[in-house]
Amino acid sequence: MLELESVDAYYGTLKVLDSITMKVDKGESVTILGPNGMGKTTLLRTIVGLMPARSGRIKYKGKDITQWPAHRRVREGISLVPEGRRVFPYLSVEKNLLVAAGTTSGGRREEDSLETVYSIFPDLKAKRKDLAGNLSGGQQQMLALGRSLIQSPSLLMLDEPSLGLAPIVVKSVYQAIRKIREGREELTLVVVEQNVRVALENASRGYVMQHGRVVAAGTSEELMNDSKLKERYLGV
Amino acid sequence: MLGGVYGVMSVGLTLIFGVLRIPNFAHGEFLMLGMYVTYWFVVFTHLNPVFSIAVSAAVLFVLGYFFQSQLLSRVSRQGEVPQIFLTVALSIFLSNAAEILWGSNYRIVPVSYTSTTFHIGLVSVYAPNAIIFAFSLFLAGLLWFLLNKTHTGLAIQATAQDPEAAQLMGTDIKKVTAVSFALGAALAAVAGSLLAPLYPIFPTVGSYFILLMFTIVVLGGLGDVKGAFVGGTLISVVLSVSSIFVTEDLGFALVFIMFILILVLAPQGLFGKTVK
Repeated sequence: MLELESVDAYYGTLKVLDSITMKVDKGESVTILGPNGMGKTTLLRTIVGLMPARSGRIKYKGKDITQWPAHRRVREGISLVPEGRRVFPYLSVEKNLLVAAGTTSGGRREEDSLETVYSIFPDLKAKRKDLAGNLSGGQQQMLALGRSLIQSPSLLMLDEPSLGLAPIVVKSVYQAIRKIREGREELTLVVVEQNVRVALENASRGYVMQHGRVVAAGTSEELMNDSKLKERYLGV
Repeated sequence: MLGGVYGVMSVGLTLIFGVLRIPNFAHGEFLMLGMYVTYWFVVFTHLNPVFSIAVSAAVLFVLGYFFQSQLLSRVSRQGEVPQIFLTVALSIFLSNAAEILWGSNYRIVPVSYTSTTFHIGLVSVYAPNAIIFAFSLFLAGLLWFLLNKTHTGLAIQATAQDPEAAQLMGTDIKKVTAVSFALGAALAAVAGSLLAPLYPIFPTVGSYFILLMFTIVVLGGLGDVKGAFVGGTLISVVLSVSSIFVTEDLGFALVFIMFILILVLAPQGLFGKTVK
């Protein structure tokens, strides 16, 4: 599904991804852990094409996508819910969704996909004429998720979906993520998360990043029970 | 009726400055080029200047596309100041190029209908103004529809609000930005073609309009087509009423007094949207 072969990425002369190699299979749910500033966000941005990979290769569904622009990767089914949600503040909720759907309202298919999103996030339906900038943080996160969902992605990547949200809202965000996965066995999920416990509960495998490198990898259980690892890298 | 003149001038800038947030100081020169295209079109073909609209729109679309994709896009990440430098430079370049090519003499489009008037009840209407008014209503409506009811329009708005997030929605932001800039330039050219029969044409005619255009776009609320139209009408009413009672120069002072008052009372403009 997704393969990275010794991918390097830089901010100017600063190396932020150092020879990242990883492989994610179809239908898997994988989390990427590690303290702040260790390259997790950069990794997702490089996979979706917002950051160029200076060297190495990225393969998706068997195709080499390393040189593809971001919009082409998105149209091929890679979707990123970015850190900080990044909804379009001056567009209504519904128009935010329609931009993502790549169509305008009116058609039968668009109505269907809008309804699918609204059935998972009923709050959004009630607010669909409101400007996205006027939603609460939790509602904006739901909208950002809905925007990705309406693209019917094969690979869904979430960057810190719980950042800045109250614990009860975090719970409902993860409930929504589970609801999205129901009936979509093909959907592959990659989640970056600082909340280690929540992240491992919702993933089958994890990678731990430190200074732009992958320093550990394993199943959620292995990572959860590795006390040395947790102490050293995850601070729990 | 002259409101339409200012309305039609501002619709293109609403797209470029109001929506894309590119401070395009060459917009007046785009308009000037549109006027010259119409002038030469009428001189060579002797057709009604209305037919030149398609030509001038096409010329300026190409010029706008080229300018944005080859030059402006290189500095678009560096904020507004380099964009201001670049568009001011283009504005100086275009007006000087026009002077070299066509000289600094005033030119008048030779048309028959400029003096035609007809009457609706007690109001006498000057024919060219009526055409311009109808056209600007049509164009404003078209742009409003494009921005709000088509996917391209949504993509334009999304790109303007957050280019990176727009890419994540599958939008080719380079193409969208270049096309909408080109469209704005084409709209300026249409305005130029419509105005050509009414105003003398000379290389620096754009600088006469540019200040009013920016005022109208801000007055109406950035990016709001309806607002630009109402703002344009309001300004033209103030200008023509004041030219009856005081002089036209004082009319400009009144326009800016009104502008400042409105910005004090409603900083987002007449129809601007705000996020609390």
